[in-house]
Amino acid sequence: MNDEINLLRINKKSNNGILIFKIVSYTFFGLSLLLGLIFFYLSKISDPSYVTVQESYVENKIKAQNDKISKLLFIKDRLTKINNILKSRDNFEGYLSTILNGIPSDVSTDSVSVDKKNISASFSSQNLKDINNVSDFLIGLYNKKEIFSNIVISSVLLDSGTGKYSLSISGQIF
Amino acid sequence: MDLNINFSNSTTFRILYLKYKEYILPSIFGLLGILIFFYFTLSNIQNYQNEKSDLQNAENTLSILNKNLNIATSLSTNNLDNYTNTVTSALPQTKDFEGILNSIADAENKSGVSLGDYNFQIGDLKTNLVNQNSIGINLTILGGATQVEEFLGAIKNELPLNNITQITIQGVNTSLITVSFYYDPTTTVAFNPVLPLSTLSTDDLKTIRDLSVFNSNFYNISSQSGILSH
Repeated sequence: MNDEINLLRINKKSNNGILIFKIVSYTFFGLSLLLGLIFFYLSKISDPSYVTVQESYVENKIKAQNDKISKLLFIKDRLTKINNILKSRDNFEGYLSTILNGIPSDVSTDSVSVDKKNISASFSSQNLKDINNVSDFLIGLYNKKEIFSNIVISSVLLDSGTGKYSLSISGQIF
Repeated sequence: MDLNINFSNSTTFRILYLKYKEYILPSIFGLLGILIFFYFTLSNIQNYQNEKSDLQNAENTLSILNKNLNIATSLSTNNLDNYTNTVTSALPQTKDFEGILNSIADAENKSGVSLGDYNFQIGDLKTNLVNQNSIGINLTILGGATQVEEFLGAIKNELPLNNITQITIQGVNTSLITVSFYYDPTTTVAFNPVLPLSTLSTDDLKTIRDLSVFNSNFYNISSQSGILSH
């Protein structure tokens, strides 16, 4: 029998199948290759090495300004700490001023003790009414939420020898 | 028809080849396409993304460096020196005993109050609120509440910066106050050129202006006896 004779039957359906398969295969091959080459090219042109060279150049210029930059940073650091101090300073002068301004002129301020958390004071006068006014004034400060977060009248005394009334208070500062 | 295929027969291979030969080349290309996609295309996509990210980062860094260079170039050495003097007066790098004593003398003069003995507290203090180094000094004021109030009003505007930590007034003759004067041993602040630099803000300049009004040291101290001399 002649080897050239092909007795296999090929129908139209398998023709279409082969065609689709060929199209898909060749297209897939072509697209993969093309995509690969495109991204290969893009990654080459995105090389950051020329920017890195510029960075070194600018960094060297900045180093020449190091003295000025150091001073600027030192000043800014100092200012941050200075502002913290200024904000957090206690206002003892204000407390004393507020209290003393409310004390009648006939009343003596015998003692005052102030620290970060506490105030204690004692006052004396020949006039009980003035002592009462001092007491009302200090309690008024507490009621208005000024200076005192709490206040205690420790004592009200009369020194029968001198005829002086004395008032002692203590309280905690806000 | 006998459907058993005898693979040892060359005629069988020929028949199979003739039947499927049109699939062979597309299959090879398909397989190559798969290999190219996974080993070439995907890796190049990944490379591109990495390079793009690196380029973006490098450009951002360069932008920051250029801005920092512009800021640094625009700084005036004269202004910086003046500002440095002002902030160092306010917050010295060491315990500035001379500055402290001059401030006390100046406050005494401005308030018209007389001071008695004074002494420095031993050891460093760190006030909890600001966690700042300070040195304390106990002062005796020859007066009562009114004199103390006047002195406090004067000392708070003196440099180095200070804070009153305790007041004890006994009558009208003698009062004691404890004052903490601040200092900070920091001498340099590290600079990273790739981090954004900023100039002094409006608030910073206002603080510097306010500080420069504080304190004028008119008087010197005879420090050995603690006596203030005019």
